[in-house]
Amino acid sequence: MREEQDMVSKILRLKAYEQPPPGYPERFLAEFHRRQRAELLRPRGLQGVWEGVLAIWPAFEVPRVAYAAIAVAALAGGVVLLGQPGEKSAMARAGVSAPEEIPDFSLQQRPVFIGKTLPASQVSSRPVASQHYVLQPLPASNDQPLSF
Amino acid sequence: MPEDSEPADEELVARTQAGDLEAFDALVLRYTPRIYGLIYNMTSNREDTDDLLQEVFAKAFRSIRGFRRQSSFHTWLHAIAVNMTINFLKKRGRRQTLSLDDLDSGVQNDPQFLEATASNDPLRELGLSELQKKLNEAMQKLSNDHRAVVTMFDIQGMPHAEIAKILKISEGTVRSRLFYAHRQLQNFLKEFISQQGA
Repeated sequence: MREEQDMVSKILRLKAYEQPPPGYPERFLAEFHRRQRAELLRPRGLQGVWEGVLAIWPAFEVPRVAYAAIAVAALAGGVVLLGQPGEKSAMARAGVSAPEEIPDFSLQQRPVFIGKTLPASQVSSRPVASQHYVLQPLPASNDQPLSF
Repeated sequence: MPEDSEPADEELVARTQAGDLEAFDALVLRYTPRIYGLIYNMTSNREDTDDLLQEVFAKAFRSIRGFRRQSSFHTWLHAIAVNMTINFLKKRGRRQTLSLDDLDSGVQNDPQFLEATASNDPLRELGLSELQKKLNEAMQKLSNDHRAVVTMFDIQGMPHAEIAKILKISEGTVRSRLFYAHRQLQNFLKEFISQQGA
């Protein structure tokens, strides 16, 4: 029995000589580089982009807590920039006042999504980001809108 | 293993962690043949091996900043490769198509292999490529865990202690898995294995 098991080990030595084709390591490395570059160009979430940057520059000796802080800041920025379409803006729900560059608004108003879909006449003359929330310029009721 | 004139793994790892990307390239070139062999012997499929090998080194690259040298780079990289391959195999299930890699001519001078074929008529008559195919089929009949220990011990020549570190099991478990795997392989290959003098 032991001899037969030793025979198995000896036969398995054959597989140690199985080789990839000649030049494989060099071709593999070239493909590895190509995939790394493609990975960097692929659109990802902010966390993934940060990981990609750090992978390229491992010399960044940033304390780990800074990663969390940066991720939170990036996420908050993403929420401000992107937001969610819906009946009420996230800012309105949170009771946060609008940034200064957004035109007049009232917390009683329904927010609308200003973008390419709105007619030009309804778009504020002031330059705005392609996607952000602005309340309707005219109040739904005859009451005077709150001013800020 | 690096030659005397080549930098050691520790130096290449330190340089990579300091931002020298060419140092990581050197590690890739150094370990590609070995990790390729590990993955190929566990999957018996060249295409799967190519893809997995890319993912292994990609993960190693992403994780190398956190490598604290508590083990050797060799062990660390093998652990990544084995774990990713086993996870892949669990998802893949049983594959019907096995592919064969080229055999290096050095096998015909391997003392242990020569001893096995010299004393065994069925093996000697089988032919190398047919034997290679039979071995691949037999290996695929093993469970993933048993195939892993056979690959690392019998094929790659790694010691029990290192295999235990890679798989995070005891050396005793490594030995028992090897014993069981050898018995299974012996059964799968019994038509080619006969007792000497029988």
